[in-house]
Amino acid sequence: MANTLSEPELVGACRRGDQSAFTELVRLYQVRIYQLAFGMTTNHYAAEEVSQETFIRFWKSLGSGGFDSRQEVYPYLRTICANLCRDYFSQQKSRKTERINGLEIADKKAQADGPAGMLKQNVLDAVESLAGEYREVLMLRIVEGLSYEEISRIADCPIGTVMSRLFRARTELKDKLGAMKI
Amino acid sequence: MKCGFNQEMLSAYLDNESSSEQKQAVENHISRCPECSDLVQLFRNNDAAMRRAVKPQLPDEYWRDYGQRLSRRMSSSGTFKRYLARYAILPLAAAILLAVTLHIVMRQTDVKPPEATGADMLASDTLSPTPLLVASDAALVNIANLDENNSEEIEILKQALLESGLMEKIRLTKYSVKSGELQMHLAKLEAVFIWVQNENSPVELQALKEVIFTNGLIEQNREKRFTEWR
Repeated sequence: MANTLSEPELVGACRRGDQSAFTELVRLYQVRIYQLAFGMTTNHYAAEEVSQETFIRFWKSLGSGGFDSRQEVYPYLRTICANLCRDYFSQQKSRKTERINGLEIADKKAQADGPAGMLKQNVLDAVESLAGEYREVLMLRIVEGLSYEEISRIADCPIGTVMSRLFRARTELKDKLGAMKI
Repeated sequence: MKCGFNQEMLSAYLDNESSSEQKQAVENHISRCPECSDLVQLFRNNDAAMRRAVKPQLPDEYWRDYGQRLSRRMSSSGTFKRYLARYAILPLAAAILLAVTLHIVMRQTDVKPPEATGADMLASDTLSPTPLLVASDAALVNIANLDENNSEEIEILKQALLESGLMEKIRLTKYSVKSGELQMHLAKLEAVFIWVQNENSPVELQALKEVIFTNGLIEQNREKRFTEWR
């Protein structure tokens, strides 16, 4: 049964074309990848697009040999996701072709959650107003908990740049949130 | 008025990315500079607020359907099919593999032979839908990856379904299961396999694949499999 398999076994099954093993891997990481995409794009529709495209590229990389079986899956997915978000920043457009069950509810929920929901929305608005490269380092550091060195590899920039981007991102966030009690 | 301290170091300090000398320097400084001490605290609070804000709070149905939407997307772009054709097994080989799988799995079923009546089946408590769900899983995946223009592949698939007696066993088993939900699921499987059995045109087979994906039948079958197995 696919749900009793270890990660390397699931990867092996995927390579043999087992879609249920792939579904299991998606299930394992869908929330984390979605969260990363959402934090970087601050848009539910874009997060859906980016996260699903991340899994599609992963599936393709299994066949093309781009993914080395000795690697862990999640860091690989995270890198794909961050790269796709960077593409998104450069395009800054999301294709809202399909209303997805759940996302409308999420929007309504934020409004209905009262002060707590509003507060969260204010933080999201502030994050959204930051440059994409700032959102990227913030997410990779604050949510993913990566070191500067790991971030520099994913963001493809020197460690010193990671450090200054993080400082500027935090300073901007502070200025935007102002004296708001969070 | 800003103090002259390099505040970039405060951010690195917060992230535990300072050298021991830098760390010492920051700690010495913030112990006597309220402005920088407040800034470190503010950064820390904002980090926590951001962590909370980006946490997805989506309803369960969003996550439940996530895999299905992904499958549909991969199916419509031909990703699964291209993968199977190129890297895994050729469609024809997949159909042959299905025939073998069905043969092995169905041999293990404890379903009574087709001549048993509905009443017999209802009275029996020896039926287990698990092997049927396992066999259906293989069959559904095979249909989803079917090359509708390859008549040889279609023929092998039909033969495999017929010879395994899968449809008949599903038909009989569905009367004996207690769960209405499982009964409904088995009815859906039966309908799909009958559809395959009766269709030859690529358009119809393509439509059948769409039905499988749109309804998330592979996913549902898999869930039922795990539920039954547990």
